[in-house]
Amino acid sequence: MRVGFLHSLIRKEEKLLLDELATRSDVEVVMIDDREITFTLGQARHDLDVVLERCINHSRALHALRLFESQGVACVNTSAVAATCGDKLLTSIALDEHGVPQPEVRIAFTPESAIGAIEAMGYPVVLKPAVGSWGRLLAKVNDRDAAEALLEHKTTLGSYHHSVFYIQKYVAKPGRDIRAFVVGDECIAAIYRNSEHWITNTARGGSATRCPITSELAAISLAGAKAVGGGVVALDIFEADGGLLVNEVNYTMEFKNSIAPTGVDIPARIVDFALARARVPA
Amino acid sequence: MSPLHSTCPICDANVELPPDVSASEVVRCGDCGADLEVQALDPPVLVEAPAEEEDWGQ
Repeated sequence: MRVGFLHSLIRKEEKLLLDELATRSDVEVVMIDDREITFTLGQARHDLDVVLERCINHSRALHALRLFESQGVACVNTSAVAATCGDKLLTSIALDEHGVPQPEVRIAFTPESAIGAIEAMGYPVVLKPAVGSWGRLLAKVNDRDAAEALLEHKTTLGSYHHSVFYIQKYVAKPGRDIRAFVVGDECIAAIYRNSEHWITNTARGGSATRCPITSELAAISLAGAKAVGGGVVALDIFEADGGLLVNEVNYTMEFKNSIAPTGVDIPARIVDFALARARVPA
Repeated sequence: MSPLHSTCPICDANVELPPDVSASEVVRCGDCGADLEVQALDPPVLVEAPAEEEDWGQ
């Protein structure tokens, strides 16, 4: 079986996945660097049974996946999942359409309408770029003065992605939130991301401890994963007074800090899933 | 097998690569602290790692 490993920089997660793939006797790994590959529409076909996507750039991942799919190559995850998860607004729409609980979200397209939406929600709120991660450019807005300043800065200095105002009601967290890992139809592991800061991303210094997978957590994780199209995803979940809320869903999950606290062999589970998705030889 | 070595393109220091190093892996220069990408293994070549972009990471 030929497994295309779509990557750019090789991080700890990619090394763990490659180490796992190397243990599988019937697997030939084809390294595909997204900085080097080119596609010719309607011509060259890549002789691969499955592509496991591990790009760092969302834009490259999304479009490369779609191109591989157009050649009939199975992909983990699919481009549809990447498209939804790579955009917080599309994720929120998918969660809403599937009845998955999430923090209140409002969308506006001008600073003036955004102020109106924020004031209607009540402070504090969080302004997020629709595309972006690692907690970059998230802004907690505590009052109208801050809202006006931020919106003006976004309008003046921001790129195209900042022209859509994604406004999320701030959820007070008990010094932590949850990251739940879903592979296929199973929630395989979960961690608490502990941080005194309201941004709990472990890439931003949050620490990871094991989180028990309760029936409530498993249910909302699977529902959130299904809403975005399923596959291999990691959900960021808030513990709110009224229950769990899905904040975001990630489709190229980072997991290096989650193996030790959970004791779950996450790369093995991802590889199992990818190989099961591979094209069955004729 | 003796460890692979290469030269930091920023400060010219000698950088020892980990025994299981892969192409495209990021290593850090012990002298100047720069993040470096292993561009090639035979012979080992280090280049400055790409800067974080707006759509990086999850």
